[in-house]
Amino acid sequence: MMYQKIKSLSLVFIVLFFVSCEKEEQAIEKKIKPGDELISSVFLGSDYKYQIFYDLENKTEVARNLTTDWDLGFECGNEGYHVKLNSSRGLKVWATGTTLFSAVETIAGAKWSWDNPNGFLDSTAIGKWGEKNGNDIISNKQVFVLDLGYDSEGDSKGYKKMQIIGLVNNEYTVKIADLSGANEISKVIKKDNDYNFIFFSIDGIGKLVTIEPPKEDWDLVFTKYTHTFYVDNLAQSYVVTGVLINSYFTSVHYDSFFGFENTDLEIAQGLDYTTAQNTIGYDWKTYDYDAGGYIMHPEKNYIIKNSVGNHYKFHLIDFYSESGQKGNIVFECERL
Amino acid sequence: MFTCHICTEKTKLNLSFNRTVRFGVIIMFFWSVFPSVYAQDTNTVQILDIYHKPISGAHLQFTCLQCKNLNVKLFLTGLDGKVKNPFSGVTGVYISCLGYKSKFDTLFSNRSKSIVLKYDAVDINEVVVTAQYAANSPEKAVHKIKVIDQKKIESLGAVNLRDVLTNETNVRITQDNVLGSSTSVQGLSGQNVKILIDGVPIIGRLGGNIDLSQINLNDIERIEIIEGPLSVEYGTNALAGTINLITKKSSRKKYQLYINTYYETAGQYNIDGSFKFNRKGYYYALTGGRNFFDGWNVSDPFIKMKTNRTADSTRFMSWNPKEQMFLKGAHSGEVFNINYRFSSDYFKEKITNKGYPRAPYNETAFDEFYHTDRWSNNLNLKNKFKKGHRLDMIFAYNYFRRQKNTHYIDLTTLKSNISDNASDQDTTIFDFFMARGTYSNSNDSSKLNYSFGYDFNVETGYGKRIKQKTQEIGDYALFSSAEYRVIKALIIRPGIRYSYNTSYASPLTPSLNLRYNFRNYIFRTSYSSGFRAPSIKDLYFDFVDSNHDIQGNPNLIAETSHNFSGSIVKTIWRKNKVIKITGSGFYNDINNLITLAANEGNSFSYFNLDKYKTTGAQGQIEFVINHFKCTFSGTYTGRYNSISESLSVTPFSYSPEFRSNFSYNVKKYNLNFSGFYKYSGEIIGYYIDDTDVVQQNFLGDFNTLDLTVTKGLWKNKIRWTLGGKNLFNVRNIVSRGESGVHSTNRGSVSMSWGISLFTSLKINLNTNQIKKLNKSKNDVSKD
Repeated sequence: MMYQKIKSLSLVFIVLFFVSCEKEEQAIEKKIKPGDELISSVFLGSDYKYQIFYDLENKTEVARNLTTDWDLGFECGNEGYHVKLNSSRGLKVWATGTTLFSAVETIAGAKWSWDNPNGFLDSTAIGKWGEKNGNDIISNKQVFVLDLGYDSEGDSKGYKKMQIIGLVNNEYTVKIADLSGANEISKVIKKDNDYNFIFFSIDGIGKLVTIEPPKEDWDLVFTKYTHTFYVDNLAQSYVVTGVLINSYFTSVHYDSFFGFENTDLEIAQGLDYTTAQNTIGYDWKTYDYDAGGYIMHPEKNYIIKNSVGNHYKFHLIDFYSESGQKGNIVFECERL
Repeated sequence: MFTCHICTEKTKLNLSFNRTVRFGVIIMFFWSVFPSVYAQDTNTVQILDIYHKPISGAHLQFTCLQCKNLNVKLFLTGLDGKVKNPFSGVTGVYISCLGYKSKFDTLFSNRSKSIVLKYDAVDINEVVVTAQYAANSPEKAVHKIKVIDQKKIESLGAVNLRDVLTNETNVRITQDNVLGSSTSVQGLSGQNVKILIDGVPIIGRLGGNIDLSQINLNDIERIEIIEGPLSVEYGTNALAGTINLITKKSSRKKYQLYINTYYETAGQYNIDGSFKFNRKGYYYALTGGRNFFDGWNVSDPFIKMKTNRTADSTRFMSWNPKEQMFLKGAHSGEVFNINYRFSSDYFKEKITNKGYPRAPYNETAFDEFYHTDRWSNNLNLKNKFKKGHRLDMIFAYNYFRRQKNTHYIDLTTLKSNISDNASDQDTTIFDFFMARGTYSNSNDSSKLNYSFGYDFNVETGYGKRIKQKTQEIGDYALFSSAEYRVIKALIIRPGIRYSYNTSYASPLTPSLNLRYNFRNYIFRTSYSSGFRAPSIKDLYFDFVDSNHDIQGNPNLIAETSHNFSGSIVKTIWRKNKVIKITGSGFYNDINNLITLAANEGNSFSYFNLDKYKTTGAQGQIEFVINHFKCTFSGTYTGRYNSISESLSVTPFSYSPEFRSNFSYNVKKYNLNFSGFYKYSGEIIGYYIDDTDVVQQNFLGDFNTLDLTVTKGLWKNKIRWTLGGKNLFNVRNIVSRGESGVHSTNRGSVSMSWGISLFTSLKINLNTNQIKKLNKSKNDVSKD
């Protein structure tokens, strides 16, 4: 009997060997100091719904708006006539080639294009829409179809057709309607030389909206924008999240040689600067499958020259808030 | 009815033998405990197997016990298993038949008797139920059915279905760190493989596949695999093959306590157990367990000891830690002549996918947790009417829930928050009702056996990316088949299924099977149509945001296939020796394959677009010599290159497989040695690269070898297995594609965590066998 008991007992012990559980983790040491005065952040909100305009001089956010607040931007300035699309929602346009507004009723056969992400105004999707006559434009009356992209819930905002009637005495006139011809509106949009663009929202009866702050008041905008990828040599639009610059007054140099730490004024003054608005762009972060999220590339260093000729070094160090919410862009920036 | 292929040679008859017979008979005269049923014919003996089917060709040696002189006569049983006793008065009989244990019995004057023979150690102790009218032997079935029995499960050290299928030919396993293991059969992907537990489909297909590692084998008696469509019997998905897991149904012991433990050096710690008992003819079982895997990384030492891990890059595992818990209750009994069985099975799994610390600061990470819940309830009613007529009904409710949670963790403080991003949290729920019933009439003696039945299924899917968040599909099917014995050796089985589906036009599905046996050859050939219904995702997927536009297509029709299969089996029976040679081939032609394709603009949807074909041949030799069993098989499977329709590319790319298993039983020491080897050949595919040039891609070949030894201790109450798995240390399979003229891109596909050792201990404590009163009941509930 005793022998039996020992046997049974030893079996119980053997069985217990087969139980294990997850091991505790041990924390690692923190390397960067919190509260460093060089660090700032902006939060684009869930689904990156905001566009946030930022001024480097004062290290402040100067304006913000929802990506759904506007659809088209009309260029100001005496000679300006370009019309840009709200690339934060992936707006696209089809130049139909016809001038008869009522003839365009479907998107069948549409060939879509979108603004070049570099923001150069000679590369807009709508392009040159008439003949110059002094500072005025005599429109060719081509009918454009707009794909209004997606709202923040991901639902399509549908299509509209548009004709730019003309630009006379700093006033644009546009006609916009549903493809069926319903809900037709006609709007006069007056330039304002304090701004780069005047913005227009098609929703409802259409309205003018202020999106960008006055042109000399900002340097950067944190936003979604439409990037062009090439797949099998075919251009594909894709909405990315990143940083654009105010190309009118700000310019950037992308540096991968000196690095953030070593960059000083002397170095900065010897560099070439570009006004392509997407020089900082979106690829300072990449999605990493092993990490299950975005990882940062702070080695990508940007030197920014602002409207008054000051130099700043700038790099991005995080994309998440403390609760792990994405769209919280954290950066280090120092005036040289 | 079973055919006894070769009976004891006549030369065996000698006098000393007869003396033994006489002695045995006298003992039995007083003490007869063998289960026996008295038949109506007078003075006739019928020989039956344990499933009460007649055994033909059994060798009966009658000895007159009341005659003055020794009088012995020898007879063979007929098709009905019957022989007339040549003597009147008390007669001794010695029955022998290969494959069965020989037996003495005593016959009394002018009474008839049925005698049941048990199967012999020569392993033909197999029975199958998948697509059969009643429990049947795989040899006799019209379908070619592969059986993986408990013995093989034990010696493989297999914990779940994935472990078992790795060693099968014509089956390929693929592994995903999060979605789990999936299988392909006959070169067709896992969404075309139907997996059943006792005839009830397993739900919860993610990306079309069921995670095989969630299907535990702790309560599984055997696994039946049929390649080729069984869509007439089981409907959708049963296109490439059907895997039916048969649970342990009964115990003949009054009380049975079973504990099973398993440890593997890669970090697997499993324990499960069951308690089963019989009381007043009712059977109760409670089973439960926990499987824990602590994750595996290339950098792990061979044997890992309990250590705390630093929250650095080592927290990321190429094989995620996983914990599974399961609990099952079952009860069976009989009321109003109906055998009922109820079981409720709950399964819970947690996969922890710790994220790689985010570069470059490595101070934060995203951790994902995948929680899966499965709950299956199953009521099975069986009624046996007059001889051969039976009604079998199943009512089942299955629930599947998978929840993904993402946490954002600060590795410097280990503080973690559930992340706020909407896409980081996700819940998918499926539930499934099934009512299935078959009425069948099968008698081995009759020319026509048939079965007809209904199969009603209602599946509901719930999830963020399903249109209107929830969708329901109802499928109401009727099916019927018949086995017609044209001549004694030839059976043809036509079958048809009609179904009405609430979501798509479902096809009429026919099949025709044929079985012919000639001497010791069995020929089988079949045409069958299979189908795969569009899934809830194919029909109602809804994933639209600024960068995606993928929508289901409610106008889809089912994928349909034509399958042609044929096989020849030759079995050579010698004393203590069985050699079985099998040759088989198949051809699958699938139309209306559901494919994701560009719709107008940037949007994507599912369409019935593509065609796919597979074909293959297989040869197999099985030897059983005393206690040594050995199998060699080779297959050659061709997968269709769909671009061959427009470009000059070989239509099929062929890939070989070779498998060899052995098992050797040393009875004296109660030791069993087994080995499992499989070679999986290279798979070649074709694709068109950026420059519109046709290129090849390759998935590399690999070898797997497992060796195990099992020892029975303490009168087999303890069975101890030691083994090595994946002895060729295969971790990743090389995949490479040629792009451009000079460059090749290399990648790898995760396969296994490499070489590991395991040990398992099975403890089986039980009281003595219960008396024959309940035994017949258990026999019935077994089928």
